Amino acid sequence: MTATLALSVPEAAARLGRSERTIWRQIRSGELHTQREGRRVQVLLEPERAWPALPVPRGTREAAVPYGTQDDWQVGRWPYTTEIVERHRVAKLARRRAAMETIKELSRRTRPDPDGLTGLDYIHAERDHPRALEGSDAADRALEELARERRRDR
Amino acid sequence: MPPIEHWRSWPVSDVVIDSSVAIAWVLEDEPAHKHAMRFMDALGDGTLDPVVSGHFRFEIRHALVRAARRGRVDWADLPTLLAALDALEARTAPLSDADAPVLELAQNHQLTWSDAHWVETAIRYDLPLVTADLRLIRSVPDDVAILVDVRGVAA
Repeated sequence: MTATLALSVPEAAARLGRSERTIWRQIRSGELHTQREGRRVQVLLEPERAWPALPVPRGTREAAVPYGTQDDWQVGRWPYTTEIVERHRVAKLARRRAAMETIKELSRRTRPDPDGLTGLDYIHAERDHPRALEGSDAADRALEELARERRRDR
Repeated sequence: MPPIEHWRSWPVSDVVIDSSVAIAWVLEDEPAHKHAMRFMDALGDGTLDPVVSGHFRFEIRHALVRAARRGRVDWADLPTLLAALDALEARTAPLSDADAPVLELAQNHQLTWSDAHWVETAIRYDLPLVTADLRLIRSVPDDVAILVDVRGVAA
């Protein structure tokens, strides 16, 4: 069991790759849980949600993280100085590399499909047999049929 | 005031990445796994910047739930895995409001709606689509969209 992190709003923004404005909005909507320490609000995060980010200097915190998923195209408040843009890029790549390490570690723990199906087969089953058109178990049946074929071919 | 687009001065090349690449990252036994991992390294050093279509989250979650049901992934690992995929911070291109271009692709190239939407996203943003799905690559001619086999990108 890992401990929940209690972070300031700027820290939570950097860790989650969101702007402070977005963090406040998520607090207000109840999407993020908080606790109070005196007058300070702390955001409570599960460790797996809080990706390590580079330290963000005071005064440029807002600009150093993207503005939510829709605003990744932006770097924050104007002026978009080279320094701010570069800090934004470096922080984003650091978060991305941390996530990549997690994916690599977890991928080493995965196992082969018992019938030799691939992840692409799973995706094709959903794409080729949409439940809205063919019923809720259409993709399951298609995949089972494919599994039978693979077993037969072995 | 400087032009807004000028802040992107570092050498970054955007690419659309479909769910078949992401599932190849996650499942070690996938035929394209090694190539997909090498390709992922290019995302980590900033050489490439990923863009996904709006239905990516749906597709990858469907595939991972199936993988868990078939014993390939531990259910307990799924939340961390999904959070890590989200933390790659791929930009999400919204699904198209216009049905016509998607339907035209589906009709002309015998694509499913999902396949057609991946191709439409690549066309709309004028970006290459990197995929591990050879069926999709074979279905779409180069003059319609540039589809790149992840095995070739990372070679």
